[in-house]
Amino acid sequence: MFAQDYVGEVPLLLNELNSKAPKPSPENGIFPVTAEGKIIGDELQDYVLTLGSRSAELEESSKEQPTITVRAKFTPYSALRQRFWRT
Amino acid sequence: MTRTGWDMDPFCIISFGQKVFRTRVIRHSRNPVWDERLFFHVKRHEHAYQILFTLFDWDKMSSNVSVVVLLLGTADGGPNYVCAGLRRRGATSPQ
Repeated sequence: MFAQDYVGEVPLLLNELNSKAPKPSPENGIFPVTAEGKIIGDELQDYVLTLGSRSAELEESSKEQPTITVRAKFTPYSALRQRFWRT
Repeated sequence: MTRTGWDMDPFCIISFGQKVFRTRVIRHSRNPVWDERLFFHVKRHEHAYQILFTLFDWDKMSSNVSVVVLLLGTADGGPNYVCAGLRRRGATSPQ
């Protein structure tokens, strides 16, 4: 069953999301906000990931690479808390 | 080897550690747009993990019936046949 229906897979490393996540300011631990009060850097980012299938020969022979586009973000819990308490 | 041919019913399974999610099946599309949202907590020890997106074709998973026909000769020369149907167990229906 697995061989017939499986198309491909691709990982998205959480480190990638972590690196784009908002960071608190070193002095007081508060996340910087915009004039409207939104935490800077706390937005969904687009990731276009190229699928790899299990068969290496199939990958090389195919003309186009299938991709999956994902929008993702990582929000630190402290940023979530700040959003809750400081609006 | 996967042959998706000219048609597929794609869906995606998203897994992170022990958490597994799946999108709905989009029928007859080679360029699906699921537009679905999910969120999950990341525990301290999971920060180096990866989110794995695995794409499947529901088309190929749905129940198939194969029929095998055997022709056997009998003593009087007429054909005798045995017919066997093979059916996949537990075909899932798309949402």
